[in-house]
Amino acid sequence: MRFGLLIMAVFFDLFGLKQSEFKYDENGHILFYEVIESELSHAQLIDNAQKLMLPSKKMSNNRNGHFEKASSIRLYRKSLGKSPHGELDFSIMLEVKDNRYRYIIKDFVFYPMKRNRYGKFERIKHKASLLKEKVAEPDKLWTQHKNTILTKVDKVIENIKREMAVIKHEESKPEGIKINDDW
Amino acid sequence: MKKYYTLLLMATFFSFIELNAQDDTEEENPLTISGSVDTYYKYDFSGDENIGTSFASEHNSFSIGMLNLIASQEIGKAAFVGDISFGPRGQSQSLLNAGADDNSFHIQNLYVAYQLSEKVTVTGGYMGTFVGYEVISPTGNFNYSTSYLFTNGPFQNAGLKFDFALSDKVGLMVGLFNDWNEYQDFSSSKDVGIQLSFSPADGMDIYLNMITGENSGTEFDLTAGLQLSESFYLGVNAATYGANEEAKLFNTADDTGFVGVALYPQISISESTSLGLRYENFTARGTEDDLNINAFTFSGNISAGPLTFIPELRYDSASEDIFTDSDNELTGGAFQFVAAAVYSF
Repeated sequence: MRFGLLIMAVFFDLFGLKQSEFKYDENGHILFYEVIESELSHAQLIDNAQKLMLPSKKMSNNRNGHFEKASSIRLYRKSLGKSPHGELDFSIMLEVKDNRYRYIIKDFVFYPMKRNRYGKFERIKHKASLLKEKVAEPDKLWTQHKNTILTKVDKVIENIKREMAVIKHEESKPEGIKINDDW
Repeated sequence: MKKYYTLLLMATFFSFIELNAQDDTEEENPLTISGSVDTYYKYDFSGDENIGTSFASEHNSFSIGMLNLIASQEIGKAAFVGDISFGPRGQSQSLLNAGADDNSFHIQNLYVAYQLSEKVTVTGGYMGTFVGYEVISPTGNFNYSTSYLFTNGPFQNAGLKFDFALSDKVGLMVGLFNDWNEYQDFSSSKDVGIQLSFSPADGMDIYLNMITGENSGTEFDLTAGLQLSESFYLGVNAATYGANEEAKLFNTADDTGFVGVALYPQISISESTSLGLRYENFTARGTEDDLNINAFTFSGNISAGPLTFIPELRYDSASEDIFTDSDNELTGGAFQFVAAAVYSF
């Protein structure tokens, strides 16, 4: 029995079947969503969410426990060397309610890039397309990108869960040495 | 029991490989290597080289353009680009021979940049010019042969420039440059360059350029790229250039230099195929008569992944007999065919 389980574990590991997949909302748009119950207080969750989301220079706000920021990942062609194929923008939303929170990762938009006259890569803004249209194409490059994107999203989710579970410790004052008469 | 250990070791080993592969994809801003290779065949129906295009000049020959290798990286606020080229297009046809031994340095772009703030970037080094519509790299042009406006304008500007993002839609560049196309400036005066850019909507970019210098002359240039619908694009270039006999910062003589306009309508007929026309009206100003040329270039861009095939027909008509026909007599028109292939990586 144990041997069978081990074989299955190795099989799934070898063939990468544990790799997460794209998830879709009711409109068919790619979306990652989860509600997580926490043992931490509401105030502690708000504090953690603020620390997690506010350092971003991009969009961020806090209305009744609602935080949102924009993120981006660059996708590369890998042949002779690495050259940018494009950039994928997406938004990360974090909401805190009572003793639980939820994350929503959505609005995946791909911007292809091309070299400008100075040899630098820049976005072709008018050629933006939704990620779901790109991953639907039978394209080897997009199969590679899919793994890159899923790995990135997994790391974002892992980071959210780790940072939201942090317990704030009150800084304790170091106690000075006290000479006690009763020694 | 040994079998269990072996399987466990294998699982751990493959997990480790997978983990490393994932880490590799997460690398931020690696050194980027990109570039292109281009080659062509041209046939001029007069039987000789006739039309004054910068590249694709060799008649009835399977010829090479250039091998272009570009390294670039951006880390934090700092960036660099090193862009080298080998071959006729990337050496004598676009770069001055800089050394005493008549060697070019093969450098198309060599500069560093630093983002001083969210709105200001400073760039210093040797850069492809900010003036004009067409560029030296074959991957940046729709047509393979080049316009007279391109051939007669600057190719590179070495110097120091500041880019200001005035808003999401408006930008300003101000710079101090060597004389045109010079790795080393031997004159004491410098050129002043200004670019005002305007992007009213995605796919619409308009640039007003000016470069002027005592030795270089003065060029005013309008360049625009307008994606008017999903399949229809219009490029526009208009420029005027003058140089005085006496050195002046602004050169306003109307009997030297050139004036011209070029239009680049292009239509995508499928994901991989586009058709385009370049119409150019170009006047070379002279002290007595001006020489006017109308040039019509029909090009196709047929892509197969990174490879683009460019068949091209071009007819130039001049106000004077400046071309030769198949009997070697002077004539006012010239007709050529080019088939080029450009691979981009």
